[in-house]
Amino acid sequence: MIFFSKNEIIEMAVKIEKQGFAFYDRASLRTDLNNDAKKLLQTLRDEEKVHEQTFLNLREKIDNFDLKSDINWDEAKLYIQSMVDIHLFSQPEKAIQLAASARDMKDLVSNAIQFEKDTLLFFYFIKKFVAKEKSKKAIENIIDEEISHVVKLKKIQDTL
Amino acid sequence: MAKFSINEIIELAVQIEKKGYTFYNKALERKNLSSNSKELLKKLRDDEIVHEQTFKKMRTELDQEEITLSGDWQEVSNYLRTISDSHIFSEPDAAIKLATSVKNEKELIENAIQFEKDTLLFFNSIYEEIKDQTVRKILKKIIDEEESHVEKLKKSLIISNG
Repeated sequence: MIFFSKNEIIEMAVKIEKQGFAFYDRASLRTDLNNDAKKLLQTLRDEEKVHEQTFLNLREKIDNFDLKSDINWDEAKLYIQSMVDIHLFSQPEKAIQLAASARDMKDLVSNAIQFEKDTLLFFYFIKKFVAKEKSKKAIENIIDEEISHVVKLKKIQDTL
Repeated sequence: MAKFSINEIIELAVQIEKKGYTFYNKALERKNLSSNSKELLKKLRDDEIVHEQTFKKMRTELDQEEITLSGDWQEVSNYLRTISDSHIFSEPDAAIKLATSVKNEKELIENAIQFEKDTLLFFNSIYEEIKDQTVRKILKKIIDEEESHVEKLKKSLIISNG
């Protein structure tokens, strides 16, 4: 059984943020967006970039990202893999495809909400494997921002 | 949007568990289920009924005044409403429809995974916002069980994909 290292876990988080960036970046290029939606998608895109950087910083200061030792990593590995596999953007290119091929804004916004939901679930999930308070706080801040993304997207969705 | 009360949140959790039970129970009526799937669906159904009871008990037993909530409750309410509205079983009868109208076992299991994911997100979100240690402990246990559901379903999906 191969264990996840903290590097691998951070790498998964980085990948998710990268895909979020790719999704919002491609989405903001669409020609059928109203001004509000375009602005929101650009903000969300920029925030995903900052989140990616946050995770990369955690990796640099790897001591701050110690994982708990009292965890059955055999089991946890399977969980983590499942959580990654069921993410909307688990396949490469999926993010861009979902941004480009959405039928309309409604479809696009509901894909964005699904992405944020999957991402939140993953972050809630990895938070409990992290031992240090500082890294926990960093993840909590990102969770709060992803929550605000969901709320903003929902507001737009209600107007469509 | 209106703010949620603790009672409303627990009620939403009860409803989610009820719908989970309905979904799994209905799914079990399907013909041609493999014996592995049948056994798994039964186990998941039975877990959901226990969870429902746990939430109901929480509602009766707790001095609800003591549950303190954190953060900006208006924002949190908006968020909880969004994820509960976008829950796969949020429409009435969706649970039954998604158990009966799927083409095959693979689709059935995929719907079950989506249900567990939406449910987990909701419970994790409540868990983050509630400070009361007793409630957190109960929620934590339910979250762990729902996580194990996802993993079991995921495994069975791999098997059914050959």
